[in-house]
Amino acid sequence: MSFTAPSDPVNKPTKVKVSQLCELCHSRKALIRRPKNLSKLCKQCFCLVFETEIHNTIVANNLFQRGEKVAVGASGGKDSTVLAHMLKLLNDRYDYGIEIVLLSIDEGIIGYRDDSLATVKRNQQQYGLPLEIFSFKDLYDWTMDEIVSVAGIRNSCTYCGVFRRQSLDRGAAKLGISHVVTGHNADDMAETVLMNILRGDVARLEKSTAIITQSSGSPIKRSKPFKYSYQKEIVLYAHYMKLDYFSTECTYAPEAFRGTAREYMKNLEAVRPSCIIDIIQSGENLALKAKKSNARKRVVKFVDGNRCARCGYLSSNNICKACMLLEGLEKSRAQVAIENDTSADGAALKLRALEKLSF
Amino acid sequence: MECQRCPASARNPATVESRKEKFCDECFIKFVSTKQRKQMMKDEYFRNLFKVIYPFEKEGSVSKILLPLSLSDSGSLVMLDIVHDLLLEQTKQHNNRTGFTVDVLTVFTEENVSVIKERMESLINEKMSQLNKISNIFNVHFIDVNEFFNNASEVSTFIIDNENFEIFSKSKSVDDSNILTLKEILGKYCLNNSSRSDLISIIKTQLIKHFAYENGYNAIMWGHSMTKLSEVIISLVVKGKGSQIATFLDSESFDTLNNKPCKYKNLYPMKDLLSVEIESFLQIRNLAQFLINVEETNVKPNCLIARKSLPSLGQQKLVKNMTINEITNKYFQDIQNDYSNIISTVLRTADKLTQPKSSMAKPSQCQICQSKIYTNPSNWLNRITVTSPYPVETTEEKYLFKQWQDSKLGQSHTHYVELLNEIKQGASNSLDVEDGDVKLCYGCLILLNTSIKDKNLVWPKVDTMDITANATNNNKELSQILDQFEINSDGEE
Repeated sequence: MSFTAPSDPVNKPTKVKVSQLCELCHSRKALIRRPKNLSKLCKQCFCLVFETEIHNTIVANNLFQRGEKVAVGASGGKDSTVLAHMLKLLNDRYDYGIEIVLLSIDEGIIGYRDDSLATVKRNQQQYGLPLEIFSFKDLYDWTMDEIVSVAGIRNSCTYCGVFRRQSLDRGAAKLGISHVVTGHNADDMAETVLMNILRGDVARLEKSTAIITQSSGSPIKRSKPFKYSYQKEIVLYAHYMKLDYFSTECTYAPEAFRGTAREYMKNLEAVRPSCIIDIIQSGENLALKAKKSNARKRVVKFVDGNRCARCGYLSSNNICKACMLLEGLEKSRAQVAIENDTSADGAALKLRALEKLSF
Repeated sequence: MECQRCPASARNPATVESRKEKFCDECFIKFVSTKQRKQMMKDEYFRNLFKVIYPFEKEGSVSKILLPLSLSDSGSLVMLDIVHDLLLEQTKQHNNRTGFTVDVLTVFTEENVSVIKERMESLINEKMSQLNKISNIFNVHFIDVNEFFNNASEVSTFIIDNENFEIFSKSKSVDDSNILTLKEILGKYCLNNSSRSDLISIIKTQLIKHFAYENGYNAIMWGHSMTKLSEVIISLVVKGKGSQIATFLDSESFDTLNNKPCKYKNLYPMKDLLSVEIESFLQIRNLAQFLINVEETNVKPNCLIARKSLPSLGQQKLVKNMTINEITNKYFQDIQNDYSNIISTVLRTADKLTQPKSSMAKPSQCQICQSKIYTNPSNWLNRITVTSPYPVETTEEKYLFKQWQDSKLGQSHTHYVELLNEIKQGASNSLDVEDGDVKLCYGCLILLNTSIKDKNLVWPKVDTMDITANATNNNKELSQILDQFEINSDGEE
């Protein structure tokens, strides 16, 4: 009986079935189902499609001007890391002629933001982009950990949202940059459209899907090149491009009501993956009726470009939201403090410590 | 526990608790009826429609109202009950005369025709016999859902080009050999429950509106509760049909059908009532027996005090098998306890919306759902989606591509391409299709692109339907509405 050599299980060439092929090129093995439409794609097609779609969004909306200095709001998370990588890549590939700067805000959440800022610093080295960091402590004399210890965890997103938005503008203004780009993606956009309808936030309804936002009195404009990019696709792209990002969620609880809207969208996606884009399409076509003028009512007209009487930042009211929140916080600030007290250091630090425990 | 609405001297025991108030049966019925009647008197047009106008001989003094009745939905049944009481009141006060006549229209399918007939007969005999004796005030009509397909002399095949999302269509005339049926459409084309439900909803709405158009009604009274309206609004947003919300809720303008003005306005008299209130009303008036799937209806959430402890026994479906409307319904039920004002907020917000500005060169209407088109959906999608592949480079990739071409999968793709080319060819040769015509709204384009097999659908051409029919044609259509199911004003079958 002759000897038959066993087949090599390691170097055996894998045979690709026709049904496993990419639905676009039909010539490479499909690795993923594209979250946007569930089409089966290979890595090359997915990356090309993802990059080109963002380029198309930038060009169609005329987001950048040649010679413009653009600040990327960088948190170290997946969205902003992919955004920084993508802008650098597309700027080189299509020659937008823009100058990119990473702009980070340190909210002062020990155990969370300090770790994510370390990622941003690595990104700075990897992409060779300049980085500027502004902190809540320097701008407002409060850290988020201190704010949460005073105002409670339930309101954390309100304070953080208002201060971070203003900090990005202030930071960009200090650097002489008039364009801030953020990593808001299609999921964020769709969620905002739904939230505005569910909460009846009529004032924000029409503008909730704008890709560029700018007040007439402000030198800073903001844009969202990921407006039509699915969050899952951003994560997949970061994974395939082996990007270095910080993947932990903020330890301060997300808003409960927003959580219900997220859960609802998750269920919808299971039935119709295109629903995120569909919601954005709907959002772009929502128009409000003209208000009936009421002669008896004293109408206080909103003036775009109005400034806060205290800090000079843009505000629709006499005092801006950040100054109002700060005023409330100052009233609650402890008069006497223990030296080197770390009790205000937030839950994030404890969580980090727990994560490092091993048995 | 006592009713908070009864006079202090004679308070009845409370049976219902709603909006933090306790009601006895009688006060609750009055509360619900008042809410509905308030909507029926919301503006001058509707006030004139529903009130008794003297002299009776004056032309148009009695208006014609169409009331679509769905026996699987409590809203329209409760509305019919309240309208019935209003008509009885008017006959008593005005010597058997009323300000309006009501035509009840029920759309049936092959599967539920017998049960619908049986329930309708018992509803008329048990609840509406008194009014039914007075001639011409109250009529009942039935319409087969397949009439939607039988009525058109031409059908169009729509197909989406998967490379640039352009919509192509080809028309052909209908003869006995190629008449479509609902069953065929749902079975052959739809890939999931959501698309089936969407198409059924479009067909039923179109049938009701055509019926109203052809028979010269002054208003259609829809039985949507506040909860149902909010669900529809959110579902429209989710389906990419947000631009249609304002038209859907519009009670101020006359409707249009196939770009032609209609003589009727749409009214939502139940829009101030929550679905739990409607369910409670249904139980108090013992109307649940007339609904289809009555067992299920019995355990729907309501605000009856005696039923409060009953758990909801609704069947738990897998999310993947649910329709978008069902998921939205579940969402509202889940958040109702913690965020009770959401339902009214959604409706109030939607009421503030108007039609968006159109970027179209000429007014267009979707040839499936008949809604106005404001932006070119193909252009919009094409701008944000890339469908071109990464080039085939290596020998192995070329080999795999060849294998794919020769395979069944490649051939089915070829079949799609052939069909697309055939329709493209037909469209350019056809004289009645103008270049650059936008045929579908964004929502229907997405429906075809994601939930319909091979991205193509055959649909009746609405402009070939007999909607401008005169009385004779009208009768022709009505005669097709299964004569044996029509109950005339004398109660005869």
